[in-house]
Amino acid sequence: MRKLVTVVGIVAIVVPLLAQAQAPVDTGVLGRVDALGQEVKRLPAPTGPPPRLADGTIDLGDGIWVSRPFGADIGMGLKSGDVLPLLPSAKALMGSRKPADDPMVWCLPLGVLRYSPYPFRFIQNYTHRKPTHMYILSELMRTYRQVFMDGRRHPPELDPTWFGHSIGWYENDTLVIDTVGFNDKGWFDRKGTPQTERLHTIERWRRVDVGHLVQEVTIDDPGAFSRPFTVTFQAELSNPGDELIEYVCNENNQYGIASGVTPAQPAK
Amino acid sequence: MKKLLTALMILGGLTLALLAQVPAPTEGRFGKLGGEFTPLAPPEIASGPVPRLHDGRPDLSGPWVGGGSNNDLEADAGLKPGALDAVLLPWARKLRDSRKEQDEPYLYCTPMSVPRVNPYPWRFVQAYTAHGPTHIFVIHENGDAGANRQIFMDGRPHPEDPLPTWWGHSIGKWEGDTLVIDTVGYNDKFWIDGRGTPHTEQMHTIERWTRINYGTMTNDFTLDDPGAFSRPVQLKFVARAVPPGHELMEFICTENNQYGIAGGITNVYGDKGYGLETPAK
Repeated sequence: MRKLVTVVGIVAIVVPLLAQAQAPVDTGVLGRVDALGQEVKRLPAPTGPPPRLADGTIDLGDGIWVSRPFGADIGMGLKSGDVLPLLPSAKALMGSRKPADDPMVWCLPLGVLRYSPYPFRFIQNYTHRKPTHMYILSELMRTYRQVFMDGRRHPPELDPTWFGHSIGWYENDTLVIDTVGFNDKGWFDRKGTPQTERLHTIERWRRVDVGHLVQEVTIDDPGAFSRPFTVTFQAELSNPGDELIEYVCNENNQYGIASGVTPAQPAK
Repeated sequence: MKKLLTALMILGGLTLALLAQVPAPTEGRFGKLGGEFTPLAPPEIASGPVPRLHDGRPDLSGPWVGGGSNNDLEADAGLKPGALDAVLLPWARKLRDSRKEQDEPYLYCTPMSVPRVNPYPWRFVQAYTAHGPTHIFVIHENGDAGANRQIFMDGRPHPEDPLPTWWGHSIGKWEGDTLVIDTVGYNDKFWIDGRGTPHTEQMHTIERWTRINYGTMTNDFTLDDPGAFSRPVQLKFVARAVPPGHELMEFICTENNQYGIAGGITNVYGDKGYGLETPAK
């Protein structure tokens, strides 16, 4: 009993010490603090060799990934000293964009590059042929990207879409995804960095170890940028057992149903 | 050659007979399942054999159209008129009859959920990971309104007290060539057909998906909801394969919806200084 009391006494001392030592606002006794002020005890992302599928391909789909940093500014992914080569027209468009115009607040898809604090997941599909598609699911908006892995090419003429037309292949251990056919509605980030229908992206995804995924993207859009440039982002593997959970933007959105939307033309 | 022809004729005859037993798609507000918005695999392909995965399981990938309720649960499942009304509890019947078309949650781009489908294609995606086939996802073309559904295939049980969600908590397993999906933990917000047939958070569904041939997959569906039905209901739906090479396209419900952006929604936060007319700071 005495021992227990002593232990409790020590803990009582240690706790304030810890509190002092980890002074930053976003850190509590147990670790990081989330937006609601709750302490989040998370294991650090693991290291070690990445898992492989039976055919030797690196497995990207055995867990869920969280991008860091995310979404705020695509320029964060540039090499230090580099600046976004925005054309004057693109700069002007950015300047005219208001926060409420952000497609994200309307529950519209995030583009290819714009990730969020919410996790995403690769699904390598399994069919009677070799894997023919790769899907990338996003918890936010609950959208999916479809990447054709069957060797097809881009069609000569495409209807512009939010996610464009993506074809993918492996170069050694790197998953390469080439996408064209974007619409010009997507924002690269919260600042409203624009894209045009001439956008062409090449993503190179490398799982450098179990817990870390590096995404290097070459952005070529002569309609918005004066030259192609490359941004690099990283994602961490979420803790084992974490799964995507349900997120229904249209239900919770202040611009959607939750705002008391009234239909302009009631159905007959 | 003659033998092959005979075999084909027998197969074709059998298939036709099978097909004849399944309900014809109903016409209604949400369109016909198959043929109207989405092409179907032609008969000579549809009657072909079930493709199989390397491990011998049937490949259920699709894409498919149909296989669930759409305009009218009773008719879509091939029940006799009135059969469903007989087991629908009085409060639920009353609620259904009071529901107006424009209150349909699906029109607001929220998920259709189970067992609902629409005239657009969908597919099962068997995830392939280093830990084996741990998940199956259902991907619907109508993106945000159908979105993606997650089925755990790793043998886990349902949580004891799941938080009610649109898609609930789904666990799946194989029984021979049949994929069995058991789901609980639904919320009570979605409508299980265009008529507004209601359900409660007590709803428990069991889907039994069996691919009969290349072009046909049946869904033997048990709907058990003591909150809305006097007894469990057994329903049968049929999904049909789209032609080989057809892919899901992009469909952004929120963007095209007459009740959403395209409808010119009212901004109820306007007087608080938020929203569409707020100048950038």
